[in-house]
Amino acid sequence: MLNFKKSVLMLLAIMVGCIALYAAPAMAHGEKSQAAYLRMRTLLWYDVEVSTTKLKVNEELVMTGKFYWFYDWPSNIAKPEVAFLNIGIPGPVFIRKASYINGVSGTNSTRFDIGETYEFKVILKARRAARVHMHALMNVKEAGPLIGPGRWVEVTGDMADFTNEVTTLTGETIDLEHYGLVNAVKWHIFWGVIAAAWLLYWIFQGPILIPRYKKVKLLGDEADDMITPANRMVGLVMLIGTIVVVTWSYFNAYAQYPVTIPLQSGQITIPALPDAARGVNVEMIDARYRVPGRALEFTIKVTNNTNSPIKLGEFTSANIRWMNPEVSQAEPADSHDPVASNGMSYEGGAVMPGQTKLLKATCTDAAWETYRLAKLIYDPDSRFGGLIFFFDEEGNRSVVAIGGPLLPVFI
Amino acid sequence: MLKTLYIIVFALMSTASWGHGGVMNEGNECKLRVGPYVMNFSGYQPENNVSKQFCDDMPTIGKSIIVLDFIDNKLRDMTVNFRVIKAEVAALGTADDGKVNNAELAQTPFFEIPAKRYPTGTMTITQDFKEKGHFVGYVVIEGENEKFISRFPFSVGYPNPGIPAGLKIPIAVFLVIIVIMIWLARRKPVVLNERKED
Ligand SMILES: [Cu+2]
Repeated sequence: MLNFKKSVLMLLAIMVGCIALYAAPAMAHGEKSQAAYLRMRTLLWYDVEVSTTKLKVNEELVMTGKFYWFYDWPSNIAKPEVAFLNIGIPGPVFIRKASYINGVSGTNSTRFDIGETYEFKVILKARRAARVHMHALMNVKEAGPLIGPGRWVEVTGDMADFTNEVTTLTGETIDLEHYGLVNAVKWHIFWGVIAAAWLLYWIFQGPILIPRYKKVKLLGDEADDMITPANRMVGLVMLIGTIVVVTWSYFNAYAQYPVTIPLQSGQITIPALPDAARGVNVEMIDARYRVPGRALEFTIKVTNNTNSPIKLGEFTSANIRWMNPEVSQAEPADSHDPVASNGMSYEGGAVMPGQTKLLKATCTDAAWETYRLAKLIYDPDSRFGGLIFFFDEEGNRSVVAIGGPLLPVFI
Repeated sequence: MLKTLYIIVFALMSTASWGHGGVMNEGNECKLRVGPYVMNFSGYQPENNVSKQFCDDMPTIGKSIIVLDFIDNKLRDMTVNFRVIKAEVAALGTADDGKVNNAELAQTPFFEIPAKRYPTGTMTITQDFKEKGHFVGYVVIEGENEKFISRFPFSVGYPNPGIPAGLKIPIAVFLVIIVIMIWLARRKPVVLNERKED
């Protein structure tokens, strides 16, 4: 039995060693590592923008955008019953001053409806110098983070100049960057010293660890005798002392700060935006992925219930955009922004008001492979999802979610 | 139980990188390095293995498709020339595989795709390999004032040439560990409790 355990432990050690030595180099920070179906069929982000990409410490940055909760939510992923909007940055380069979802404060966790669109705004303040790839991020309970498009942002200046001043309920202005820091350090040291003393005391009370275990086994029922009356006295003093200090500190803090509000942990439901499809109906007829050629080809049946002719201008999924430059233009925002400026084309032309028409679109780009979306065709459930944008002659946009099974083709 | 663990260890080890010249198999991705730039390399033989992807070596003869996907967006603004030259020998598995040979480059290629820009970032090469053999692939990229060449030998129609070089050391270490484990398993168990039970 013991040998078996040893073997398992040893194997585990070898495994850890092998992973450390031979693991393939990790990709950026997760943009490509989540499964394709998860990126295409959960949260679809669009219109994401940052107010600036270069700023100094203490300056503010605003990130805005929209997100749509995909109607064909994967059955193995938890639904957004409890979700929290955040910004993903490696390290505390920014602090979040405020966040809004459809104009409602996003301080609390929120419940969202599948199939609905929301817009967001997050205000950040630069804290220290760094160049970071910044993403909007939705943390969904039991599903994990759903990542939005990334932007490179550079902060310059000195962290020592950073201030984070707020005015409290009692009218006092405090700098949250340093507020209460000394007190927190003091208490950590105080309890650290006590804990170390307690540990040290017991190290010198007879044998420890395995020898002690052996002795306990040997003494059997008389093992309690190993603890002397002096040991018991020290323990009692320690217990009473701890309770007294905790009680005193509680009343002391209460006397010093009589007016407080507890940490807010409520949950809210925010009403969704009006339907972004604006009267455009789309039915998926079929979809194929051309493996050599890296192209998604789909045929859709479009019904135009608006009163203006519409054309297909964009397909977006997993934070990648395929643009039809004849209808809508966009260029990559930076070196890591996957925008296929000329990636989409379609047959069928404009859909007239009241007309129902078949459109055949092709979305080509190496991103299908380099962003590992094509891995979808190896899934047991090869369904894809995304948003298509129609534009009328005045530039009004209709956003419609499409999705369905995806078949790979080789010729 | 132990067997399963061994298999897991083995599977983890196989993520080690190995390759021939400019083509590297990194984990589950096959990469082609051209100077400072990186492309994804995928080989397909739709008639034999419809959805399987190969890294440089093609297991059988017949219609083969090679797809290069540019990871660095800068490559989209450069021209790419792809050529394949017949070779006498298989890949050596050493650093020499990646060394550009000018005499070889000057030869008339077995087939060639002339320099062209690929703005969608993906390049598809279709070739029917009628008989088995060894080849050398060259990818030449040219930008405004830069030019890089990558060389990678590959074979068509040859079975897997045994254990890849990059795996030899891990496998040796693994075998030594198995020996140690067998030795440990044969030792008598240590008795912790000194008290004898009656
Ligand atoms: Cu990123």
